[in-house]
Parts: sequence; structure tokens; C-alpha cells
Amino acid sequence: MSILSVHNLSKRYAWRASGFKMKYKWAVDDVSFDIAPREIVAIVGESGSGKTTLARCLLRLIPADHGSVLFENQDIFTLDRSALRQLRPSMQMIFQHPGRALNPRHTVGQTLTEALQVHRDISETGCRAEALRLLDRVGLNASYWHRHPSELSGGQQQRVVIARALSTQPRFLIADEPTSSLDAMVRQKIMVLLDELTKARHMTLLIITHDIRTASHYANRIGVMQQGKLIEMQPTQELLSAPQHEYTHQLIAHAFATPETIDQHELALERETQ
Amino acid sequence: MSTLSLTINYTTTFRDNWQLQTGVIILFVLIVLTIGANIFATYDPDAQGDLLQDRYLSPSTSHIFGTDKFGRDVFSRVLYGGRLSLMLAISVVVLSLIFGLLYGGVAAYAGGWIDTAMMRLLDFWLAFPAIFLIMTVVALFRPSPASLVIILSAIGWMETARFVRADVLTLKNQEFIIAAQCLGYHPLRILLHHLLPNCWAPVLATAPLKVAEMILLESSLSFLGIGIQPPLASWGTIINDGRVALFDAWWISLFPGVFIMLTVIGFNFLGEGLRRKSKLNSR
Repeated sequence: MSILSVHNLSKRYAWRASGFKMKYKWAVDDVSFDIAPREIVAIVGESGSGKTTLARCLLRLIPADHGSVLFENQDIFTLDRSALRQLRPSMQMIFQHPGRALNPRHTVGQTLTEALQVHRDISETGCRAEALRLLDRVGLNASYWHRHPSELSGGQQQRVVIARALSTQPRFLIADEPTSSLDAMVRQKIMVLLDELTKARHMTLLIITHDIRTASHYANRIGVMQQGKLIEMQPTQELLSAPQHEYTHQLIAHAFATPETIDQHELALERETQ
Repeated sequence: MSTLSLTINYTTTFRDNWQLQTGVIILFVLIVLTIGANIFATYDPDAQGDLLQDRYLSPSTSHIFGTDKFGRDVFSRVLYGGRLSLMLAISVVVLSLIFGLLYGGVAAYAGGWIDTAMMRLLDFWLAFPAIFLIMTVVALFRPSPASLVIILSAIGWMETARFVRADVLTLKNQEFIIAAQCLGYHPLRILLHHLLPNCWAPVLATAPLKVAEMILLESSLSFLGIGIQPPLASWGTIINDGRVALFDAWWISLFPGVFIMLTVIGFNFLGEGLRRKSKLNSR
């Protein structure tokens, strides 16, 4: 049983090269994997490897070109618009730039109550109470209610984004680089919060990140993407101890390296190539 | 604390912004005069005086703007006419802004063939000479203030629609719109609550300039006899009344002309001031 199952997913971007000839780049290239309920999975890869495109395709925020995504055995690519809207609350997303993911004209209170009013059949006072509970859950108090996103720090903005995602009671959450635009101090707090919430609410979490250390700290399984391809996916310990792919090996070596080990590794690589 | 800093910011920008100040003062005086026409006007604007004694009286203490060929008090007519001209221009701008916002917003957010079809329709509408359209409609229906509002709105929305479309096109790929889609909001909610509120500030800043434009257009139409019809007074019709005796009774045309000029200047200053203010704030 899997909550999300991805089969041969591909997405290409087109650009016009010279004249009428179209050139394509496969941002996501034939990716397949499964996620079990309550699992925490990480997809790791450098920037430009197609991680964000993959995340957006999984939620059908952008159309994919090939393949299928089954969410709880429902093919989300074949759903019509209104059925998709019904399904949206159960799968939510945390964004890379929390400042851009919040409507600059809405206060924290408006942002949260809007999401609650649209999907949950509760009264206005109920919405307010629930929104305050959510704010409290992500570590913000009621004094933030009337603030606009521009009056919040990056970490606080990300907390609001998380609270908003939780407001629809999702079963599946994608965190697309949730901490990469934040300070080192705040990063860990946000990751711990996400981890805690995922476990407390029995959610399934897909973390998209370029940082294999963060991934290995929280995820049960890690997949590695390179140029749109998912080159391997293994349980975290196995991936760290016995990476199948040379690229994974390099990623791990660099992530956990001290300056000396990097030099050694590069020397070894040079020797191999010679 | 945050509210306090916002008000301080607002008042300092208002104090530094002489265009905004001038515009607000001119328009405040004009609007008070025209809305309070019942109080300030010394005569009934349509009451004809004694045709022998009261025709073409030059400005004096009893008739400060003089009288016209029917012995009507020009000052009273300018105030009542101004009320009509201003209300007409403002309702035209409000209507055309609302329609332009919705049209441009829907086209851009829907995208694809809907966008193409809507924009080609707009181009077609834009290519149609407005003056002929107005003359045709006036020839078919008796022009009333209401029908004028509709015709002028119908030719005034396209610019706004294009403006809004361009803004929405750039906004719709922003993460907060993707987030709203991800939350499963209805497209209409995304358009009305998330897209349009984030692009109407620059559009609203153009509103005063459009009001000025519409006042001029309405006056020209009324002057040509295809706008507001006598005996209703608007600034354009009063100028037209004075046309036959321009050299003997210059006051009939001069004063409504001065009022039009002041209003246009007022709205232009207001528009320029608002534009500067929104620029300062967005910095």
C-alpha cells in the first residue's frame, strides 16, 4: 500500500532555438517511485536537477508530459478541475521562498482563515479559534494575527506557510527546499517543527532539498536526482553506507567532508581519470 | 507600533507631495461647490429671467458670472452643470475601471485561446473610431446622462484591461498564486482575492487622469450637441450656449471653461501625486 505512486513521470520544457526548430530539455525524465503512508522521503539533487519541477508535477500544479501519479490510488492527472480542487486539501506544499508564497496584502489572520473557510465547514468564530490554534502550534502567538508578510522574518513567514498548509488537514505534504532561504539558526528549528508535525499528525512528508545532510537526518528514504533522472532511491542508512551511483558517492563525500577529505577524494578522482 | 509608523510615513509623504496637496485642495473646493449647488447657487439654474431686462447681463454683484440669453444665472448653471459633469465623469471612470480590471484579469488568468480571443476582440474594439460610435448611438437613442455614461464607459475600458492583463500575466506565476491553487481555491477567488488586489494600485492611480479625460470628452460632446441635451446644464452645454454671443457675452463661455480647466488640472495633480506616492511606497 502506498499513499503516492509515481510511474514514468516526465516533464519537458521547450524553448525555440534557431528559427522554427523547437528544442526540449527534460526537466523530469522518466521518474518512478512509491511513498508509503507516514514515511518521510527526501529527494536530493543539485539546483537545476528538476526537483522543484518534480514536486509541482506531483501535485499537478504544472502539467506533466508523460506518466501518472496515483494519490491514494486515484490518478490525479485524469481528474477534472472540480474533483482536483476537492482533493487538493489532502496534499499540501511548503515553498522555498515563504515571503513569496504569502499574499503580500493579506495579514496572517486573513491568510489562515481563508484556507479554513474554503475547506472546512466551520463558523467564523470557529475559524478564528482554529487559526489561532494553528498559529500556536507552529510557535507563533496571537500578536502576529494582524501582521503582513513584510513585517515578519523569513522563519516566521515559513511558520505561517506551514500553518496554512496544515489548516486543510493534509495527509501528504511536500516541502520544497523549506529552509534554503533561511538563516542557519532558523533552518534547524523549521526542520524540527516539520518533523514533529509530520509525526504528530500522521502525515507523509516528501522533502525536496539540495542538502543531503538535512535529508539523512530526517528521512527514512532518500532519492537522488541528477539531470531530471532519479538515479537511485534507497533507505537512508543503506544509501549513506553503500551508494550505488558514483554521483551519490560524491554528494555524500562532499556533504560530510572536512577540507582534508575533500582534497583526498579529489586526488583519488584525479588518479582514477588519469 | 506598526500602525503608528505607517501613519507617520503617510503624513510625511503627503506633506512633501505638493502635487497631491494642490490636487486635493482644488478638487475639494470644486466638489464642495458643485455638490452643495443647492446651497451656493443664488438662482434656480433653469429659471428664465425677464427676457427684456435680464438677458446677457455682464457679471455684477447680483449675477457674479452674468446671465445668458434666457436671463438664466450663469453661476448657478455652472455649479449645477458641474455636478452633472463631475458625476458623469466619475461614474464613467468607475464603471470602465471595474470592467477593465475584470476583462484584463480574466483574459490573463484564463490564458490560452480565451486570452487570445479576448485580446483580439479588444483590438477590434480599439480600432473602431469612438466618435462615430458615439454619433451612431446618439442618432439612434436620445442621449441622456445614463446613456452617455454607458457609451463613454464602453470606449474607456480598453486601456485599463491591457494594463491589468500585463500585470496579471507576471503575477500569476508567483509562488503565492501557485500556493493558492495548491490550496484548492476556486479560480474566481484567486482572481478576485489574490491577483486583482495586487495589481490595482497602479490602475487606481491612473483614475484621476481618466476622470479629467472624461470631463473633457463629455464637454466636447455636449458642445457639439451630441452629449448632454439642453435644458440640462453641463459645462459643455453652457459653453455651447455662449458660442452664439462669444464676443458680446464672453462670460457665458469663459466661466464654465475656467471650471473645466481647474477640474482637469486638479485631477491631473491628484493623479500625478498619487503616482508619486505609490512609487515612494513601493520603494
